[in-house]
Amino acid sequence: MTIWSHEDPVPGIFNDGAFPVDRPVLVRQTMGELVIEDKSTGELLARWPLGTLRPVPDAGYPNTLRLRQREGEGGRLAILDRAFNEGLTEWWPGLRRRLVFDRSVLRTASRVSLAAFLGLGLFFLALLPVLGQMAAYLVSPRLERQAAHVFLRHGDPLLERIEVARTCDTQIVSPILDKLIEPLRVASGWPESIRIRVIDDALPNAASIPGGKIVIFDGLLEFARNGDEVAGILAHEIGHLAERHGMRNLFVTSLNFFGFDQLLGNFSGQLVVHPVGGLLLTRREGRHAEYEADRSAIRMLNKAGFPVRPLADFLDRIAYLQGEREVARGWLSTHPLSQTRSRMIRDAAPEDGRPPVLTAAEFSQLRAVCATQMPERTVPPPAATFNDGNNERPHYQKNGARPQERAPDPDAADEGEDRGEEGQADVTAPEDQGRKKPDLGEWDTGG
Amino acid sequence: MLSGTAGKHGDPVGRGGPGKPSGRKCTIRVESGVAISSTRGGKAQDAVTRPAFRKGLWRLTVLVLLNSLFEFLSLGLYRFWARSRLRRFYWNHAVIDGAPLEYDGRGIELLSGFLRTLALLLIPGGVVFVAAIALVGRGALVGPADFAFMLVLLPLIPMALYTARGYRLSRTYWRGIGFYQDGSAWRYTLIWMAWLMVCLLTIGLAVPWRNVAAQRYRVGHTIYGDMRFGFTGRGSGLIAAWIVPWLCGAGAAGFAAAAVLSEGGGRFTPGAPEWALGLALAFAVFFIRYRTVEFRYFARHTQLGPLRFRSRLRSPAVVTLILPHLAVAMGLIALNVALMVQLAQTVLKTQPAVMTADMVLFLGLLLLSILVLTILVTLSYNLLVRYGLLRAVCRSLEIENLHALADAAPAHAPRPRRGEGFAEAFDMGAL
Repeated sequence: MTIWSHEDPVPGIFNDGAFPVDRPVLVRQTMGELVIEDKSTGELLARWPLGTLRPVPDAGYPNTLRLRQREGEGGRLAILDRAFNEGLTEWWPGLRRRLVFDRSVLRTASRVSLAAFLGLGLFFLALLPVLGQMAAYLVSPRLERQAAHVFLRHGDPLLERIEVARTCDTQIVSPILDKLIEPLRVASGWPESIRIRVIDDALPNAASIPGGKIVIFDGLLEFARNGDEVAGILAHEIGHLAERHGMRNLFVTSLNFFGFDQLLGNFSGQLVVHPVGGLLLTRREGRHAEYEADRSAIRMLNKAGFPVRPLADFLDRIAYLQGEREVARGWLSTHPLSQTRSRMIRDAAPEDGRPPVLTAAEFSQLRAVCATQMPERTVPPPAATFNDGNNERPHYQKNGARPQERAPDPDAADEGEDRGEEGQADVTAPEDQGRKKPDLGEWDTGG
Repeated sequence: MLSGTAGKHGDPVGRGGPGKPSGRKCTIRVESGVAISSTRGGKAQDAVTRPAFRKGLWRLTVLVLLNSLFEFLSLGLYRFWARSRLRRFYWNHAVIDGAPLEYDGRGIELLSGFLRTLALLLIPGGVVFVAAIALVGRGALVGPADFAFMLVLLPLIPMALYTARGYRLSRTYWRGIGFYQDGSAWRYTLIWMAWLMVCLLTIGLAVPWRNVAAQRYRVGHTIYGDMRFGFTGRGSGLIAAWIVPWLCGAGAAGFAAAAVLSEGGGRFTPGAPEWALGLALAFAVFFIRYRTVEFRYFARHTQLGPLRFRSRLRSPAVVTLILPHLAVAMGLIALNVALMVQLAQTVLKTQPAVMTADMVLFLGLLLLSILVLTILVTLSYNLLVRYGLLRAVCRSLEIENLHALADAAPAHAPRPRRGEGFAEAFDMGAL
């Protein structure tokens, strides 16, 4: 390597780092060193080997190169000769650091961006769900109940509806409900009693409230063909409870808020990444939770000796109802495709030939008592939590005709479902021999 | 290109100063960013140095835009580096006696300090969060729990400010010699909190004493080389300037309270809202005036060995920088909101409630317009408020006996390795 050489002295300004005094100097390069001498007296002030030179970011002064020997305190040398500086920076381009832009800025920016994307992926896909799940299991059902109460109380209209929900605990029905719930509860390992509430709503839906409460829309009872299907749905909801999905959702949301918003700052972090990333995260978490709940439902149903396939039948009917609407929703949806879920359940549960959980008479009784106020009424708009922003929900009509035809819309169900920490709500809809065929509209569907 | 404009103009930026070996006085001109001493014999003149602030609006504009671009591309993570580079720019444009200030902080230091603080904040935050649910239970006391958490967070503000100041000083050099800050962030926090209580009890009348107490601690623990700064100011020296803004502020608060109470069924006070608004505006203007008076007072009572400081900063110079920025920012926000309302109406009219391509387009435009707004407001803030104010402040300063600094030796004090920590977590470490 040729060492650049410049024997003629050029003017400069030097301070030795010991005292804040600038001295006019003459600088020349000999034998791989910058030799710095006092301009007037010729006194040798310093010798800086070329290899020790470091740049001082240049504020854009023309024809000036500012150098130092190390970071922090110490001597500074400003060389004022253009040709000398050009030779020096040609020999080592890194010696010129500009304030506004140079190659090192691009290098830093690209590294930081890469790190941000890697960190983002790691955080969203690995750290957050794992931490959330770990934290969720640490919380007792009692605490979970309190948390649900606290957070539902703050702005979730679902709670208002649950407060006016019926208990459906009559002398006749209670034993029937127990027959459905108790074996599943024992199978799930959920340590406390599970309370069932019924909401007057035509939509075939059910939701689990963290802490041990399941809310059934009476539409579900009306649309279910038998007790086995109801048992399947209940098992799915108990799965949400036992897997602590509500609590995990709460932790993930909070961690996302505290950790990631903070990390990314308010520029593109809170403006872009939080809404988009948060949306995708809740969607992904939602789908993940549905599969988990299905898997644990299968486990519970098997353990309790209940037939498993009716749950798949149920989902099949929903898939049929939804038709092409489900296509292409993919990663934007909170719920996975019903077809995929039913396929998974069928794969896991071969024809078992197990006896029905409830007799036809018991199921009729359950339906008669708990779903008494069913059809022929106008259903009020659903609570905002379940709503996608469209309050024009189709009314349930006994004659089975669709109230209005809509164009299939894959994205319709995806707005406004960030229900934060509360329970997993699931909409289910059977087709009942052509008797009733509800239009699920923009509702999110899935068992 | 505006580079080196100070040099081109050849403004004398100071007299006296170096020349330690010969002991003679020199005239220093900024030329090519370094001091060119033209030694001059003759009798010693009184040595007053006026710092300069070099022009660099175009460079700053490019820097801010580049920073915004990189911040966006890096999902916001680049902001630590962006802040370091901005500081380096501002520091480098302040020229004292021909030599620019140097800022040597790095983005990675700010990031690691921030991460550490985040971890420190997340743990107590999580504990309070769970405790609130466990203890408060039914949710009736969530409000008070939030308030308690805020009270816990409050002392972190002065602590953050003090630590951040220490970090910035420790990365600041002039002529190869560094500044640093000693003292205890805890003690500063104690002073800050105690005076905050006094201010609350006196409805704000004690503000000058509070500011002086804080400034005394900060300045008294600032060191350059091996020389310590000193502060001799007293709160009573500022009370005359504080009375008018204080009266305006108290009046505005009183009328606002009256207006709110009369809304709630109390006795109607005619004209209360108008009075409240008018007095609030008057408060804003007089408060800026107070802060300039305070700045001059602080400068006058700051010492560094034999060095003395003076400032000729006037409030009109400050107001003419801040008001245009506010006008620009508010105008941009209003424009943005109007645009969005217009777009929303158009989109929602055509396709109610169904997520369509129009909606996606609308959301995209919304994000884009917010991003552009953010960039423009950041630009205006940097050009008008930061650059403008720093320039005004620098050029208003006068330093006496700067040459005495020739006796200051580097202290090689231990420097904090991490960045500003709390200040970053609260996004307060602006400059």
